[in-house]
Amino acid sequence: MARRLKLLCEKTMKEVMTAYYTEAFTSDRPKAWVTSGAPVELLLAAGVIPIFPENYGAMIGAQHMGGDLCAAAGDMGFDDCVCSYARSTIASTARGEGPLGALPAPDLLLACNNGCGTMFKWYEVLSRRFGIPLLFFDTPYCAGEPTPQDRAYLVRQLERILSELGDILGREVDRDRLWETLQVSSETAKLWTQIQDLRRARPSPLNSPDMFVHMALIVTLRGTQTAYDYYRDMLAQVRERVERGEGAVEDEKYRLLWDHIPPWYALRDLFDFCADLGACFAVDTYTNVWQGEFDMARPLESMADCYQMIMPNLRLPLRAAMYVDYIRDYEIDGFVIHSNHSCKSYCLGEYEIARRITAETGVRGVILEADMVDPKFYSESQVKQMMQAFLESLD
Amino acid sequence: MEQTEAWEKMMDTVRDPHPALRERRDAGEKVVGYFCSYVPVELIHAAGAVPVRMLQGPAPGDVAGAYMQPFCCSFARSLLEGLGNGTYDYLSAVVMPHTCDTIRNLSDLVETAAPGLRVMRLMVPTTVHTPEAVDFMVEELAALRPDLEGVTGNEAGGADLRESIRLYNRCRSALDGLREAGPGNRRLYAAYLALQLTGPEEFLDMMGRVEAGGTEAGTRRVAVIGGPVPQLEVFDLLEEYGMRVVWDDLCTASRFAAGMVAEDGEPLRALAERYLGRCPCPTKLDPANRREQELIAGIGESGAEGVVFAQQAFCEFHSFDYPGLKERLDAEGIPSVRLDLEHPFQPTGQMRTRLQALSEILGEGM
Repeated sequence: MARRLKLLCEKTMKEVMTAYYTEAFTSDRPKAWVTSGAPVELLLAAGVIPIFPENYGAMIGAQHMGGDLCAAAGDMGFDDCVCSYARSTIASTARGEGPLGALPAPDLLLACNNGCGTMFKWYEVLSRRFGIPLLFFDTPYCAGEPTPQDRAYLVRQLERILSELGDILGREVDRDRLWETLQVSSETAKLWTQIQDLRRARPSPLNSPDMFVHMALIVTLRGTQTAYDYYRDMLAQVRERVERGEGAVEDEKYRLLWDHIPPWYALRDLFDFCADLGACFAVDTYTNVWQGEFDMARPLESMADCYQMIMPNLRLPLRAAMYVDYIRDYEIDGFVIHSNHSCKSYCLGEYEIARRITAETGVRGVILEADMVDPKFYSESQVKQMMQAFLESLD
Repeated sequence: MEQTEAWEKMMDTVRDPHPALRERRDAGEKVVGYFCSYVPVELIHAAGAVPVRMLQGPAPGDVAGAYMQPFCCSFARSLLEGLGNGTYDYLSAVVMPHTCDTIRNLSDLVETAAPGLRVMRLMVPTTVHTPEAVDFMVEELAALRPDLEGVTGNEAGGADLRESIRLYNRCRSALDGLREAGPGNRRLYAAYLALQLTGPEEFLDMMGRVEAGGTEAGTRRVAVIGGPVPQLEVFDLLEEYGMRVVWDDLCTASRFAAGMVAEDGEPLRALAERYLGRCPCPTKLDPANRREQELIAGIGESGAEGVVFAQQAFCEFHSFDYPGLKERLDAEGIPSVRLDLEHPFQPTGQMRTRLQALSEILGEGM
């Protein structure tokens, strides 16, 4: 059986997330549903409670409720080609079902398309169903350094969102509080990056499924002292683990890269299966997305840059180069790409990225067909057979 | 020229535009492909190139399979196949706008699958209704212009651009006139597609030779809503079930031709305002739900009694909109059916069953 080395902070994680959801469900403060790549700092500075349906989609998947809820979304007219985070959470709201029932109804919405265009379509549906305003941050696809017109467009949008947010709340967003929030967010992202860097150690102190759990706060609460404190403690604990030479996987034999969101319903089952075969996912592309550090000398411009230049919003050559760097920096033996049925933005280009990685590094990979929440597209036996054969081929 | 012959010439342009475009390339003209109705054709034309919409690709095969997952739409897969296998060998460049996630990412894959082909990106904003979005579009067009000029060696500003704007406005007016005259599904939609598959001069020449009226068929009045529908067989199929298309919201038809570009004022701004000011396509933010409002208004004005959703299979953006639109139509008592299109088009049993059902419902109401 694969061992699971728990960090002390995991207990804190449960407490923090319980407190977060308790407040979200019970507080009278205004609530916003927000996409994971949106500038949540604006909401925090405005005293709005941010709620992340994508996180909830992951919870739905992990608790094996995705099949039923995605089928229910199908009954509502939403096809299988629609993002399963969207399908499962729309159905959760309509039916009042989910790990915690339906999420608390929002007062407003904030979406950004830096992860995918899906986000604004999903939030348009929410806006119409709830009859509430949608604030949208449009981030042009990025070929490298932002162009002057990109930056001007993005900054003007941030100003507009701040203004509209003030109108909705009936009070202006306090700029000083926003700068403080950005500072904390930036410091928290720095800690998260340092934790990611420690995964280069041999054996790797953290396996990707650990990161998929620990990422909850960098997504949900970045910009808060709570998240900062959590990652400060986590960093210290991971450092100690590295100093002790303790690996996340016993007898680490293969060091792998995981690409994309995991199939949440198979999180432990699939990764434990791999760990039993000696495979540790020492790096993954997904949890590395939340790394924006802001330049407080030019906060809005810096926000514009950071939110535009996250990995899924970068052109393929840049993304491929990032993957190649991961392969080299983390001394990776093989890569596993999740071709995620309901996520075209992140997936389209994976075949070419795989070829480029192999051409540049000699490292080979395997592509698994599945979906992040909807288990209908996942064949456990086929995936495990493929993983076993792939790992054997690395010997 | 006999009427049938004149229309057949237009049909040929639509069925297989490639030989004529190859001839033009061989005669020294530059042909520039573009991927969606948000690319200002006037700018390509003003630079001295023939703007050609990327349509009518081959069946997806080895090229598409090497780069794209099967869950991407066959429309995009077909275009990549064509770019990789030489179907579009007459192109000097392609302009790829930011529309859906698939086309956005496809721009990177085209560079690999069709090495040597110049790929120009146009970051059409997703937000289309704000002043900053229009300003951004103006800047993007200003950045695209020298790239196009680099392909042709001609300047695309001033008088040339104004002339191209006037020319395309005339084309749009001609299409409006044709729709009014009611030439029948096949001829009307062939004309829309012909404009996108040849230059405006050739289109106006063809339009000058055909007579508009006379072949209207079908008694069941329907509106068609969806994305690109480049196959005339889709409209033939509707006609088979007695349906006459009296209104549409298709990006290869009315949405392509809707609205004039202002002929006075600064041309790039005029282009940005016209292109962003239309009823938004599902890949654009639509906070006021204009699409639904215009559908309902269009049905009212045209007298459509039913709606056919004709969208590409696996199109997430249209699929997000579908339940809300269907719900609204149901609430208004307007019957509708949905066809999920694949390329190449094959009328499936399911499509026929759905159309038969709609036809019967509409027939009962007559």
